[in-house]
Amino acid sequence: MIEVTYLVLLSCVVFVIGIVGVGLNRNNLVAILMNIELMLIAVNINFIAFSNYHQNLEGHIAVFFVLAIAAAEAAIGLAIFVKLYERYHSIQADKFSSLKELA
Amino acid sequence: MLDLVFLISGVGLVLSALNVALSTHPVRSVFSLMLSFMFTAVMWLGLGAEFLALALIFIYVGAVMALFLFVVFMLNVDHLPRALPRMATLFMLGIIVSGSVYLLLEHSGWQAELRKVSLNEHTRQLGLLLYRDYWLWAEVVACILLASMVGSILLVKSRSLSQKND
Repeated sequence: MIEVTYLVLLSCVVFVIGIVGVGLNRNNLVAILMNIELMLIAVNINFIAFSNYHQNLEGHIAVFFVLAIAAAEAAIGLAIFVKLYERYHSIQADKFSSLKELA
Repeated sequence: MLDLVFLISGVGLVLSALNVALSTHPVRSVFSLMLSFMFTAVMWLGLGAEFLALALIFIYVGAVMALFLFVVFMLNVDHLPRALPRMATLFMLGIIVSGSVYLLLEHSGWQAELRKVSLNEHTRQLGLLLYRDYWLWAEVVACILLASMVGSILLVKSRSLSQKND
C-alpha cells in the first residue's frame, strides 16, 4: 500500500512548481491565478493524505471548504481581470502602477 | 495495482503541473491545469475520497476551468513578456525546498502506511459531518459564494449601469 510520505513529497513538489510558476509568469495575471489553483490542489492532497492517515474525515471537510472558496476566488479574480482589460487593454501586471508612489 | 495507479497519477500530476508553470501559451496552460485536476481526482479516488474527486471533476474541470478558458479566449493574453532572468533562481529554490523536504522525510524514519478511509458510505459520512458538526461553516461558505457571485456580476456590469445613471 502507498505511504503518506509519497503524498507529502508529491504535494510539496506541486506546491513548489506553483510558486515557481507565479515567479515566472509575474506579468500574466491569468497565469498567476492558475498557479495559485495549483498550489491549492497541492494543499488539498496534503489534507486528504493526513485525513486518511488519521482515519478522520475532518480533513475532507477542509478540502470541501477550500474547493468552495477557491471557486469564489476564481470567479471574483476573473471578473476583476475583465474590468482591467476593459480599462487598460491588457492584463500585463507591469502596467498597473497608478497606485505606486511617484518617485 | 493501486500502487501503479498512484505512481501514474503522481507522475502525470507533476508533469502537467510543470507544463502549467512553464508553458508560454495560456490556452495550453489551462488545458494542462485541467489534466492535472483529472490526475488529482484519480489519486483521490484511490484514497477513498470519492465525493471530493467527483466534485473536483464536476466543479473544477467542468465549471471553473471552463470559466478560465472563456476569459483566456475573450482577453488577448498571448505571449506576454516573461521574467526570464530569475528562472534559474526559482528553479534552484524549488530544488532546494523539495530536496530538503525529501531528506527530512527520508531521515525521520517515518513509515506511515496509508489506509483508505472506511470506504463504505463515504459520501454519507461526509454529509453527516458537514451538516451536523460544520453546519455553521457550510452556511458561511454559502454566503461567501453568493457574495462572490453577486460581486462578480456587479463588477462586470457596473459600467453599463453607471452609463444608464448618467
